[in-house]
Amino acid sequence: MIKASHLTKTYGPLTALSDVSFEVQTGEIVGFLGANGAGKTTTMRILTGFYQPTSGQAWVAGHSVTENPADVKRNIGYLPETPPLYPEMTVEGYLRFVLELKKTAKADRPELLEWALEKCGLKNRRNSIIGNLSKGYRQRVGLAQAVIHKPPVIILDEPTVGLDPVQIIEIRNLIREFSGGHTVLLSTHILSEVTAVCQRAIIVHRGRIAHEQTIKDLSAKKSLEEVFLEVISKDVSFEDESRTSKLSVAH
Amino acid sequence: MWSAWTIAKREIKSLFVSPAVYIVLGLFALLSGVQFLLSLQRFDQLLQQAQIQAQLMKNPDALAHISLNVMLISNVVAFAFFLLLFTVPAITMRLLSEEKSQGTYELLLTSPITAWDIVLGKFIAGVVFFSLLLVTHALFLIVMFGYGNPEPLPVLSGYLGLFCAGVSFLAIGLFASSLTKNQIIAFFVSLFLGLGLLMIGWAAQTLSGNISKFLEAASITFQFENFNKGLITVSGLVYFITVWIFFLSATRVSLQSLTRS
Repeated sequence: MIKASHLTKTYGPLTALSDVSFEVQTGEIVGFLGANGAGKTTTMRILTGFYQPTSGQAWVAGHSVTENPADVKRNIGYLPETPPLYPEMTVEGYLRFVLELKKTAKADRPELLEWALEKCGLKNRRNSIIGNLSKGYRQRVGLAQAVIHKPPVIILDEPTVGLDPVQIIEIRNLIREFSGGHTVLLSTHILSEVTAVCQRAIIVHRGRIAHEQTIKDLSAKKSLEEVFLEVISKDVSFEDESRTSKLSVAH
Repeated sequence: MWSAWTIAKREIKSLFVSPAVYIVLGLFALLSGVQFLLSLQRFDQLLQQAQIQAQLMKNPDALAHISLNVMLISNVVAFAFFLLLFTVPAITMRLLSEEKSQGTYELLLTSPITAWDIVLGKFIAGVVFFSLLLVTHALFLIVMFGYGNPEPLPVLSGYLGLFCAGVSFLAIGLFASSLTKNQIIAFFVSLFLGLGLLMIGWAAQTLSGNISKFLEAASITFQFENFNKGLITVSGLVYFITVWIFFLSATRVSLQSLTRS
């Protein structure tokens, strides 16, 4: 469903991604794991057709992101790191706007709206002004925005960042419910999130794919934390960088 | 095209819950109201003097020289043009820079719509709001048509000029807003561009020959003043439409460059 092949992205002299290749099968939930600045957001932005890669190619739902970004955009739902919300709108008004923006059939809209409100636990907040919502609810609206048109591919950039433990669990449960019917790629720097939600982890480090691992292959004696640290400590200069980069190993 | 309307609808709704926009509307109405009042008083004085002159000199023609159109209405319209130079950037500064600063442009640019949809949607919203601004200004006309007897066609032509010039400032402002996530910068860039388009007319006065003619025709004041005199020319219309298309296209390029960086 998602296929990235030798993706490279440079911003001037800075190389954000180099030679990244991976695949995600239909119905899979895959976690994109890495420290801040490892290249997660850049990869996701390329897959959504937001950025063009410097070189390499990616296909989402069979469409090329460089040659056919319009078809790619039709098949994805995307939650960026900051949920793209208009604070002055109501939840319902905002979701109606998104339904129009995603070009859903007019007749389906009331049903999709109710479905998303229900699924994301927003029914009792439908008339609230988004600017007045708590961070957890805003994140839910962001998630509702990404799934409301029932896209085959859902891309979530750090969906649980900044939430309290209860909200994290709620959002994770929500994401897990999308498995099977939808292909989900989510990024995080929280290791336990990947074991809790995903079937497979892709570890990115300094713009490269450092490791791929299915969660059920993790043995009891070797946790994902150990795998992660082992993989990135192969990079000799990691010690220097670890002082500046914020890597959270939450349990 | 329908997506442009989707964007425009949302933008119009947001404009009307934005306090800054009401301040702009209010200030525009206040300043043009004060100027209208002052112009009206001056016109009244002129009229009285002319009446006295006509009686003293037994020359009824003196009154015929006092034209409501030339001495009052075109004055009021010209002042509105000057005000638009400042008020339109205040409306347009948020249009795209706010999308950037609150991250919503990521939603727009990952939706199955084109950059043209976004540019046109924002532009339509701006034009709708600006038309409302003009309608509040046109309330003065009710007073003038109610108590005086102006010629309607030059008035219409003046307002058409005001509309064309205002929409030009809108297109310029939209472009400025696409360049930055900072609304203050967007405001000043569009003010600067608008003033530039106005000031090249001043340069024309100090030069001579073809350059002078070219700069004069390129200045927005010259084109607007023709309309305000009741002179609707094809070259004037072409000028304004060119300015709109140029800045809207520039905005589209600027938006697209976001995704190519």
